[in-house]
Amino acid sequence: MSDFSHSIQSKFKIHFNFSCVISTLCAPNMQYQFVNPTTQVALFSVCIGTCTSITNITWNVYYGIMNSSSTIVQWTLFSQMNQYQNIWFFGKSILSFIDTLDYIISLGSNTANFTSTDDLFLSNPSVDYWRFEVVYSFPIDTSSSSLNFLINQPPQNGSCSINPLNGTTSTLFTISCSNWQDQDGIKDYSFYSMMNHFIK
Amino acid sequence: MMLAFSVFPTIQVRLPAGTDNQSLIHLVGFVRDPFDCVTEFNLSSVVVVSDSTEITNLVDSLQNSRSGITNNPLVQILASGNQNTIGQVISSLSLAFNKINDQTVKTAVESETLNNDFHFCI
Repeated sequence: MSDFSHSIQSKFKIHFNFSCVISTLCAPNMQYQFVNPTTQVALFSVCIGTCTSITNITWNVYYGIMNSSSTIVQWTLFSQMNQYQNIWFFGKSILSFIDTLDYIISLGSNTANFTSTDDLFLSNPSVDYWRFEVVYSFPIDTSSSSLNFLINQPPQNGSCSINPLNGTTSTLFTISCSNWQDQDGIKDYSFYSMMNHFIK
Repeated sequence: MMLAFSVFPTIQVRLPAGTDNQSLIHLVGFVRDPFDCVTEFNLSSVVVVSDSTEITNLVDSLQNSRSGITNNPLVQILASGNQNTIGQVISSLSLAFNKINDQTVKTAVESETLNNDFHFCI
């Protein structure tokens, strides 16, 4: 479990709580959480300090592009958050309400949960960097905190071949794999056979 | 069904006989990185026919040659301790025995049908 805190405006401190259910599926990598594209992200935030007057808690998602000429990631707001609300994203915002006297009622809660299904990463395979931000709004102030993710890429550009292409149940077939590339290395290979009646 | 698992990029496998008219086996592979990110790919389909002599010899050894059974090549593979190869041989044999069983049932049913027809005529 990791705690992250990054206050843009320092009046209030917001703690980001991020944990991996299966610890081997995500690994801290410098300023990023390194996860597979099949990961569902569940985040929890809590405001610490004088947080009784929170009016709004909103989660934002940004995607990052690294400029080839520099190592700086440029962040852009993911504009389809509303479109995929309650499809990919759950718990985007908690709004306060205003009563008839126009008196702002506080939320009564200083915590917020947000979940993004793995469809976000799987549907945008070309994006390696993602940022999840929570913004706490107060009557005259805002405070925010964010957490960055780096998406692990699967092995690429390789192939495997089998030889010979026909034989009997006592023939030894050789499967050869070559040119598989992954910046983290190749762990293993596995092979399965499928009969025609299972494919149908 | 699973055929093989290896940390090495080149392996040798025994394949079960194909079950369709062309005796084709379709192969799928997975390559994985240390964080369990996986790429799936298809291999060329392979024609594999049953080596009936090998299976007949195994059955003969099991039924008639208890003292010499350790000389049978399939029995030697099953005793080898190589998990990949043992799995491949067991899968291949079970499919072959199922096929023999299906054929036996089919023959029995056809024979029964003929007998019924005969009784009906009487």
